[in-house]
Amino acid sequence: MDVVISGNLIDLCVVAMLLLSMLAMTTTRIAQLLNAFAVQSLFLAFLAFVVADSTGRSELYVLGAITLAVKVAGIPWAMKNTAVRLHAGREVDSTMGIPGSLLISAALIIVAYLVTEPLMATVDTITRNCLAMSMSVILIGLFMMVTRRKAMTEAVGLLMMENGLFLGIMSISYGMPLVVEIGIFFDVLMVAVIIGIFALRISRAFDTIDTSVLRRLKE
Amino acid sequence: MFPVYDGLYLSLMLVPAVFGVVVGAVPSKHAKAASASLCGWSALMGALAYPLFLYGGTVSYTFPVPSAWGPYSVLMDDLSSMIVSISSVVFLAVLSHMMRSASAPRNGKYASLACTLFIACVLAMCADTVMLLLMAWETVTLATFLMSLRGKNGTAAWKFFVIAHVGGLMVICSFLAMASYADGQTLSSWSDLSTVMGVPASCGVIVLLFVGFGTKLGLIPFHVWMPDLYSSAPTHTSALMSTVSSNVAVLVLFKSVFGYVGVSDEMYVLAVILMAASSFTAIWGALESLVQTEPKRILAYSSMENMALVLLCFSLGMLFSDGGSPGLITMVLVAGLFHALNHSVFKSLMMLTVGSAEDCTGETAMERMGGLAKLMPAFSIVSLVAVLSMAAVPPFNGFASEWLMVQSLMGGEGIHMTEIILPLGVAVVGISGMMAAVSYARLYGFMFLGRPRSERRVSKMIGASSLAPMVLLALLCFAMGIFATDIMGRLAGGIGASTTIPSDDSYMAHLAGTLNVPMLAGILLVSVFAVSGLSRVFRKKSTRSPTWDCGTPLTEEMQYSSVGFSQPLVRVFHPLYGDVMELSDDESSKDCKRYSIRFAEPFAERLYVPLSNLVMKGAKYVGRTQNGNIQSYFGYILIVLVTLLVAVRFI
Amino acid sequence: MTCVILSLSQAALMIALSPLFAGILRKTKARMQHRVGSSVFQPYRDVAKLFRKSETVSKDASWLFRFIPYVCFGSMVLLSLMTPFVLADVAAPYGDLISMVYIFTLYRFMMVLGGLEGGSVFGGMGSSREMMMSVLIEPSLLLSLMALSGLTGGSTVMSDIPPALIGMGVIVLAPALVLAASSFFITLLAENARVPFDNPSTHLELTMVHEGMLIEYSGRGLGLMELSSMMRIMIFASMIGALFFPWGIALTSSPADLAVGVASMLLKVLMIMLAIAAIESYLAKYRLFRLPNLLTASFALSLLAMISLYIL
Repeated sequence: MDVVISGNLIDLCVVAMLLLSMLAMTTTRIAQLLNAFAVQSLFLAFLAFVVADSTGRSELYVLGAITLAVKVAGIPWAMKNTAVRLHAGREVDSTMGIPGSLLISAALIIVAYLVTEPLMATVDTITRNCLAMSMSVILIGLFMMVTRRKAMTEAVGLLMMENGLFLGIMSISYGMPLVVEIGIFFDVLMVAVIIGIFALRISRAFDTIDTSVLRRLKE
Repeated sequence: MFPVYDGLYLSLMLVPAVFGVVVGAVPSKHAKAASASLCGWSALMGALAYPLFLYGGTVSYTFPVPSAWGPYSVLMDDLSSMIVSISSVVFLAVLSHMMRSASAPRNGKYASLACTLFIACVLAMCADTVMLLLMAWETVTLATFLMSLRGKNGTAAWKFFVIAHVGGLMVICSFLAMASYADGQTLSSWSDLSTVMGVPASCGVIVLLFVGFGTKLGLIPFHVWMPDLYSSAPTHTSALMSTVSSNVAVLVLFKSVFGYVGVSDEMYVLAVILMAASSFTAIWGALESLVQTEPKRILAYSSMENMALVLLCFSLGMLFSDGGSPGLITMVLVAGLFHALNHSVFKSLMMLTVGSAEDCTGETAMERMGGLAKLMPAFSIVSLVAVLSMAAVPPFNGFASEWLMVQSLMGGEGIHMTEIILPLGVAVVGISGMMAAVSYARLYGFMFLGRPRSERRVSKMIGASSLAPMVLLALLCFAMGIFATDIMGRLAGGIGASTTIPSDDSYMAHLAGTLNVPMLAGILLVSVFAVSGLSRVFRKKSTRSPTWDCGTPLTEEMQYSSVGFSQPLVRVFHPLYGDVMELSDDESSKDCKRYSIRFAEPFAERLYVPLSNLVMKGAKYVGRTQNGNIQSYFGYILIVLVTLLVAVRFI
Repeated sequence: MTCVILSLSQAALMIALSPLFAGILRKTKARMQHRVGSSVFQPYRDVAKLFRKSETVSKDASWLFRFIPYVCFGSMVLLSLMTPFVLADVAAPYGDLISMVYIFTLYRFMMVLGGLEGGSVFGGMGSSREMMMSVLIEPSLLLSLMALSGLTGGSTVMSDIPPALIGMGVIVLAPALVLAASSFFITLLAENARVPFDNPSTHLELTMVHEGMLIEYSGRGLGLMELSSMMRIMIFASMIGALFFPWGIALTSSPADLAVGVASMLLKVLMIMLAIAAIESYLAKYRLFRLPNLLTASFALSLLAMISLYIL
């Protein structure tokens, strides 16, 4: 592929991932949130394919395929099922309004840029531009975990952070060795499963999956 | 010019005003008129400063007064003479409006103080020695304080007095610090002291200057005196205070920061901090101006917003000094100075509008005015010019300077750290400018349009003598918009002459090809008048009927209220306003309840009240030492004496 | 001289076509909702009828009320002379992005004053809501234009932008451009009182913003206001077409280029109108206090456009 076009495609994918993170901050429904996560993972997989194509690293194809299987299809499907079984979890309630959380996300992007600016000069991969964006995706994911109350949405925040991490690793060194990556995927899958079970347990114990009620455990 | 003519010009300008000070103090019926006309003559001469500069060059003169502090000399250079000219025109307009205004104080003392203020402002703008500058600056503060005392507004005026003196102290400190590093006695020989002072000391001096002059310009948190004073002082005091004395502060601040101290590369952190402070002030001023119910308070907050934009430009100039092209630095500084000049013209016009409206209706609350445009069309046209300039709408002057601000923010790429800061700056200018426009639309709409909102009828129409100075200012608003590019070029020349920023014409040439206000104004006017002319030729029948009322006749109260008008924005910006809904019993009837909104005053509640509590507590401790026993006072003297002697011996 | 003639005829074309596109928008919307809808030429008939009618003015209104429609129309004429529509370098000496933003402010400011003129509650409410929206729109409008000018080398002159963008080749996919364009599109919907922000087809409902301000106008004044608002959406659409996606615009004034320019511009404006019609059919109007969410999203998009300009 032409270098300019692949560079543009990479940029577009990264921006789309960041946009989906911000979109996830604005949604009020778990189904939409999971869709946003799935589409973000789709862009991540596509990015892996583009990078694999332009650098000739075949293990990135494998990683992209696993991403497709696990994050685009598997986890969202499983979590949607859990959400349906929990009934209560359709509406997401956030501790902060939409404009406020959007503005804070924008501020986090600026912080990410300021932090990674010196790093970007030292890396010489074609994806080095993505470093700031990946840092932003990580920070926004964390911020989502801060503001959301439900265990399900906190899990999505964590998964989005993981997407950001994957992007960051790819932008510095075109990904880690295959074994490590697969290990991480396994971890993520376990996290999703555990949080699913955890949410079910919480909901059985407290009749809600609002994690702020966990404060009661202190008493 | 030759020294003889310099002295002649200055005496023609200043001596009548000095006489005016004396004449105004005479207890006579004609004292006010005599004193004000003497001051008017002085202002007229002041307006000639820039034409004379173009004709004869710099005016410099040393007053033949013996002094222990060095000579008292003035120097009227490019920039000073330009600002003196425009300030004098504003002064002249305000004075001639004051002569006939019903709300202005009738005694001669007020006119005498106005003369003092004029002398002090001119001297402060062109002082060439530190002592003269500081004395003139203090006199400006004192004169405005005395002019704003009226009836029972003691608290507001004293608040101003205290804060302005804290600022004055900072200005004095900064000038003394500069003087200790400088060689020459005259200010014009100071330049780029930062190379001698080193970065930390010069940063300290710049902070002192910004805060010191910022107290006058309404920099947060030193703005608390502004709304109270503007609403309680006589209109003409507020008009002069927000225009002429702000111009003095802006000019001296500009010359000190960019000329005397000089900005070096390492100051970008300071520049960013100052930018943040001024952006915050701009947004806060704009937000508060949206919810005020008194026209004068709206104008107070809008002055704060405009001056904050000027300070934003100056801090951007500091930021751009770190690697930006000289043309860009010049451009952003031109934007700041030009905006200050424009602000002085349209704000004085708006102040006179509000003053005249109060004279005609006898009301001070916007909620009880309305319908003035139908009664006094000429008045409403002139005021519309002021409002449109304040809202930065082409082709008036406010547009030109805000355009230049945005343009310089957009053009400043590729400079250290600015990638992130500039878009935020554009957002600040955009949102605060638009909020200001909303508050002016509200001001004009509720003062001039709709039906009269109270039963009280307009007692008298505005006279030609009150309208004439306003027409002058309105024409100036239009002219400064049309000739914006020319004025920008002149300001750029002035900046080149009074600072060490190398002059660079590339940006100015670029501007000449981008901003074309005469063209915009021409097309706009031609199309407006062509269409309205056509419609006049093919005239159709036009009938008058009551406003559509859904079947219920409309009364005065059945209109949108100014409080309701800003309600959507109040709800959107609720976290910033911190407004509280209060439910109270209505006085008029027992069964009714009354809802009211109270806006929090975070700076008063969180900063000044704790501060004053602290001071009172400290005073109590000090008070314990004052027991009235003469022996203990002798004891204090002994202790001080011994400490001093020991200190002198060992240090 | 040819430039002046071309510029004038371009503006004339824009003014003449704006009711047609308004008609196409209405027709498409009607078809999407399984209605027949009125003819695409109906807006012409409406405006012509309004011009022929006599006028009724409120007793409470002053001179300003009669003057406002002319100012609004005049500012739209000025903008249609400034904006590149078919030919890129048409208004080189004064067609500037920042001036354009402030001319839109003039239009809105005047319309708001007109809403307050009659002293009716509808007008006041419309004005108040319009002002709320315009405060929130302004920063994202300025930022999206800043991103556009930054992408094309820092010039804010409108006629510099299309050649610069075309010269950059396959930059279609540049994130900054896409983000800025989507932010600008949200601004278009908000500025022109389209569906998630306002319902252009209702009268006398508490939801209305734009129509509320026009309620006291009648006859020729109303005709001018309606025509101006059709021109406004046309100018916005052609700005997306000419500045953000300028491919096809005429860079020289040769007849072949001009023909391609006209055809491509008509196609682009048509597509934007179809997109608006689709949005209006599939979305409901938002509650007033949900609008800040959308406008903040637009602001975030434009800020992201700016940031991605520097990062990527």
